[in-house]
Amino acid sequence: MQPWISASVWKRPDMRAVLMLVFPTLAIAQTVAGDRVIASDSPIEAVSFSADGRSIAAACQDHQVRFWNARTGEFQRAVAFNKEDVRPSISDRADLLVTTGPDGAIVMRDLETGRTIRRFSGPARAPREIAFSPDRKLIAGAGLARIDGSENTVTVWDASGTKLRALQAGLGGVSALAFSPDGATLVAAGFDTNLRAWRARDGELLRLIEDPPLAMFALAFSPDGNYLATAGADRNVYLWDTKTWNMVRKLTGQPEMISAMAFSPDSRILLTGGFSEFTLRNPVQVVFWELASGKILRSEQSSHRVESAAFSPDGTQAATASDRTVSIWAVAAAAKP
Amino acid sequence: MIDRKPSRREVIENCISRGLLLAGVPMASSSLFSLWAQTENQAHKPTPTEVLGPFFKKGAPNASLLRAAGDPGFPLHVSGKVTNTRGEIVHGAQIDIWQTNHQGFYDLQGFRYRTRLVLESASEYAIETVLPGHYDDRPAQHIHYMISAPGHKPLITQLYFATDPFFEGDPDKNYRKRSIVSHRDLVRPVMLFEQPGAAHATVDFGICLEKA
Repeated sequence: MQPWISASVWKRPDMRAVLMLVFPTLAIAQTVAGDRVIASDSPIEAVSFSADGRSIAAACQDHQVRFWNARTGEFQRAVAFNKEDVRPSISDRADLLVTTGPDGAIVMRDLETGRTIRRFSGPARAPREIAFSPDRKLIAGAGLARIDGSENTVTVWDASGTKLRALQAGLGGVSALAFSPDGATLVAAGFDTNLRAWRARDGELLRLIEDPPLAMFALAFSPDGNYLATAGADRNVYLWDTKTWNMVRKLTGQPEMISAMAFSPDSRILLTGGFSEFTLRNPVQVVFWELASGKILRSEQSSHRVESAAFSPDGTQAATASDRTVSIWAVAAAAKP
Repeated sequence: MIDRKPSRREVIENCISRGLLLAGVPMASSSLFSLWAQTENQAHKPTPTEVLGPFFKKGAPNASLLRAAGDPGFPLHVSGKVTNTRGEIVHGAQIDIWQTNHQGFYDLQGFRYRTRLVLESASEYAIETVLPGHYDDRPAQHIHYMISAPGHKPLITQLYFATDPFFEGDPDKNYRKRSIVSHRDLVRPVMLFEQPGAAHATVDFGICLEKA
């Protein structure tokens, strides 16, 4: 950080945004040791670390996926995707991009080569949520139900784009989707506030969870497969035991609704990012939770809704994206229990 | 000239006047039955559907008074009958209704401006509330509805207000603005009443369900 900017000013997201506009070099300035703020030219919808952890990739609204060095914040490269395509989703190793075309087609692009590797027909309306199975053999897509209520379904395709099955979700459509780490289970959160867990292999409904009173907007399985974390409109994080599907812990303390979530690779830390109904006006919180105790390890401000969150493969860094900013958080320094 | 679907009585009268029922020859009985069945099932248009939205909350109390004493906002009375496309009253309907307060905020912690009405034998409902506020994402005032009834398809819809500044005084022309409202029929006229000491608004929002 420039020595003449006080830490208190720099910690205010609104001031930081103004300073970053005036002094672009501050885009890679540090807040605390190891933290880094990266400015993007366009609002960001999704972030992911590369498999080696060296790069952070962000899918932006101007139809480019930008890569930066995750340690230095230096810009590396950009991969453009079709201007008509929307709802970009980056795989957890930042090697695949999935977008949806104006005709509802699902487009898969290799982020190494930048080439489209597959394009296949999606549902009648472009899916709003996309999930990859960890082995990349399955892709699930779902979205807002059609106005006539005829598409309250989650569609599952294989890697070649062949539709395998349509799973019946609740009235009102799906708000979030996730595969378990072993790829055996697919979970959808619905706007009807229910959670549904299916066996990915044959689509059998394993459990319908009707406990949540409000819709969940973010889902994350712990990498050890033991827990499913869900969070959304009621500001709480619920942890579900994936063997019994019983709720085993509720984490409270996020001051606003939760829109993004990620687990550390060792399953010990959960990262949540919020949004409020005043999204454009009020800062929201980025919170690191210690799973074992339910304690908040660290809480930081984000000037805008947190769109996406990710951990680096070695767990030493985490990233959150909001508006035109990727925030890199030094996990080892500040949040490791 | 009838420019709408004829009623059952009109169909029968028409048939009689043309000798169809008496002679039974020019129109096959299956065609006649099919016309009759179509008329029966589509005598009334089902209420258009709308998106559920992200803020539905389970477990709301069965209460018709949503406006607490002293609540700010413009008092609003909404009522209507729940029928089906045959024009029959629907028994046992349950209606979840939720909306923002006058400032455009949903209650996510409790159940303010949320209700789950259980209609017993009568198929009419009424709520006392306030005109919902505007908020950035969906800047048209609206009230959410989710209706279920035995033997009928569930319905998710929303009520909009013709007086909303969002429609700029012309809902016919402006209801498609920003792709928020799915159907013109969901924008309802608002009657304004001036009572001694207080004004209030009244809206009729009847619900028409399709048979399952």
